[in-house]
Amino acid sequence: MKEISCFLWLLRSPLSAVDLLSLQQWDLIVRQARCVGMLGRIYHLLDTKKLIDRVPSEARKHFRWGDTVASRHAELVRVEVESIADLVSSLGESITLLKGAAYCCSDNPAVKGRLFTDIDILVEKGALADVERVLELNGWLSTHLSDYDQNYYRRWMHELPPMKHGQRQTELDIHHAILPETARVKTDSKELLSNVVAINAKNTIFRLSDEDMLLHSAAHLFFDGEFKHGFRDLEDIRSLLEARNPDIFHWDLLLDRALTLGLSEPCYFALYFSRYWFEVEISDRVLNRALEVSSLGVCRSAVLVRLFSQSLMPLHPSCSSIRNAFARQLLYIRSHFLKMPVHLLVPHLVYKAVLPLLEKIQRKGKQGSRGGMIQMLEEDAKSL
Amino acid sequence: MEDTSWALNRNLRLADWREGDAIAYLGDSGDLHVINELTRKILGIFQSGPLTLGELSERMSFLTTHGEDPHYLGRQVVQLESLGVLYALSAERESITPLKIKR
Amino acid sequence: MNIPTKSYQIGPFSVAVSTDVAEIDRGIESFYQGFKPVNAKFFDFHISLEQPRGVRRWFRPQIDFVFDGIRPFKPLPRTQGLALFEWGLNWCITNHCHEYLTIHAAVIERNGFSLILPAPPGAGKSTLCAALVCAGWRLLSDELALINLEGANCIAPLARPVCLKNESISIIKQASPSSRFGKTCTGTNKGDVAHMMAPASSVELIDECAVGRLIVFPRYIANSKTILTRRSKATTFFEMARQSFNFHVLGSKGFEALESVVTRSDCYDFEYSNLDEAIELMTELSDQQLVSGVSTEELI
Repeated sequence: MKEISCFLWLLRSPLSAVDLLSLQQWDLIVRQARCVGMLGRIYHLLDTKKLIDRVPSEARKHFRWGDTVASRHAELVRVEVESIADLVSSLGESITLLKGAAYCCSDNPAVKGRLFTDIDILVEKGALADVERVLELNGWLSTHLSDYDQNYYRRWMHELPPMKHGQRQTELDIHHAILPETARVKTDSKELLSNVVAINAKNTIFRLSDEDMLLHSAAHLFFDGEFKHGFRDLEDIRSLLEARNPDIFHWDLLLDRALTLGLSEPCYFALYFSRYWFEVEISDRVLNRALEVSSLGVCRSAVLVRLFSQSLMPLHPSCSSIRNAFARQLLYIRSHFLKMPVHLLVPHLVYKAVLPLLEKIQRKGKQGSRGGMIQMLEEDAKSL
Repeated sequence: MEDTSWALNRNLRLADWREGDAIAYLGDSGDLHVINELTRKILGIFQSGPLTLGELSERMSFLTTHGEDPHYLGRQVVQLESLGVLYALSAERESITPLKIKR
Repeated sequence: MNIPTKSYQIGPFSVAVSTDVAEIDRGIESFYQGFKPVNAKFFDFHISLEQPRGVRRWFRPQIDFVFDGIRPFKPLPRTQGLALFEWGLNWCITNHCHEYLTIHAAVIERNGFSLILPAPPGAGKSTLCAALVCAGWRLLSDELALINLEGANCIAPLARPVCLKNESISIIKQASPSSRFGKTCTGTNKGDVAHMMAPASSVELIDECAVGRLIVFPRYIANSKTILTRRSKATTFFEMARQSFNFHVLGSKGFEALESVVTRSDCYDFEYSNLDEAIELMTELSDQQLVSGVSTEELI
């Protein structure tokens, strides 16, 4: 944790950090922030607090460059989302935005400056086929074209295979649920969709409610096995919590909602890390209740907290260690078990492990056998 | 179509060097187009505000020999709509962002 | 093992480079000889050139370009280390820096006015650029035109080595025996590659921006006559936006910066095969700018 102590200090207490950080410390922060896609986020955070001019110019320009990219990307996403919403509304359906696209299009100040790549939307399962068709007619193409991958996504996961616009190259993930069909935890999409909030006056673009957005973010971070942007995603959760409306928001209501959606476990971790990493004010009572309701138990929660602590570190050379890599590996395996039952998971993992070898053998068969260890090594090197 | 009013995309920027062709840039979508002299003049006229095709034709007739042909102008206007440079105003719209942005 | 890091201030960018391959280390040092020393606490780009672990460290040895833990390219043969460094540094600047509108073009300067040579690879821009630098023009860059977003029509220098390929290497060496070259890298996917270092006079002026005045699109066509034709500002603008790395990211700011350069520049297409004639014509063009009486103050 000491590797990111300066980074955390800046995020927790920018007012004191900004004048006291040395140039060397700024150098490390810029590098770690770049690694997790948070340069623009820092720019925005410091700019809102009118602290950006106190940052040394060497570092400030990097934050500004990040903000330039993030702002422009957000602008283009807003245009893209309107276009998708118009297409889908021709079917009498609306779209519910998830994650980065939702923050960006609802102009949520809590997560401005954030860099994200795909657009994620949630549609009703029954409308999936029609939505896919209308998008295909308007230049959106499905990626992952092998039959196996198509089947994997459609049958077992909670989304269509990712789509990409043929011309503009924007990536779009269309979900019908926030967790896979095959997952051990089931979150009712109807429950989510009954609580959505409209973003535009035409009522064609929606987002999840404040609590559901938070819980979805937590589910994504603590159930999925991907930690490339883990630190950034955790900061999202802390920002969403800090932006809560104190007149409406109640911790107990959040925990109740988590219980209804089956997301008590990720909710506990979200609160734990927001408190211990970012010093969000969460009382012992609330944290204890969150643990109780999650049915994790003291031992299991301690083990997972340790694994997450290691895995959420930025994937930067300054934070890399065998221990962190091992923790990520364990959590990756865990995420697979959460996503799929054993009788589906084992064949899937075997197929994925064997596939590159099968493809290589197929290619060699076409080329004629030249063989030799040296050649295979050369090919490996080229494919790096 | 005769009663439809058209307006400029508010994100349109024009770079104009009085040489003939010019550049139209849409700040929202990032699209960039080289436009010819006639198109430049058409856009210049729209800078005063929304116009119907008839109004456009009337104002063009003072400027160019093409201006009197409403069919030709109509085609130009439709093309500019497909590029997102112009958009058709309709009674249902509450905001002034374009109806469609196609590439 | 502690691999020493060297630092360089290359125009607006501070770069930390570490490599355990002595030849590459020496090569980079010679490229950036005479550049200002850099404050050793903060670097814009942390770069290392690393030998891979495993068999490719010894057998047909390779070298990896690593930017702060990221490997954006496949490894190359170790003999191409210098070329890899230069290409990698281009990648760092074009992928991260949005201080400027960056355009794939050469920029040189004479009489206080710059000549921008935008061109796709293979058009002969680097050869023409190198030839003009040897004839006395100041080198700002042979790959990246950095157009200032804040100041109107202002281009920032880098004075980095000019990358020449194949026959161009010997042509320039012959034409200018006093020019300094790095070691030729053979067998790259572009053929033979060598870098001509910037003359000391260009490095001395590295903090002085140049004002845009001429934009010429060169095309080397074997046996062609030397032909200069005017082109419209609109098509020039469009093509330069296409050759830009970050026009789409900068939005309106990029539009304004490019407009300010194109508005104040005369724009041409240029076909040539004879390098001497090309140098003569460009020199004439530059002299005409001086004579036409447009002062530097009026341009800004």
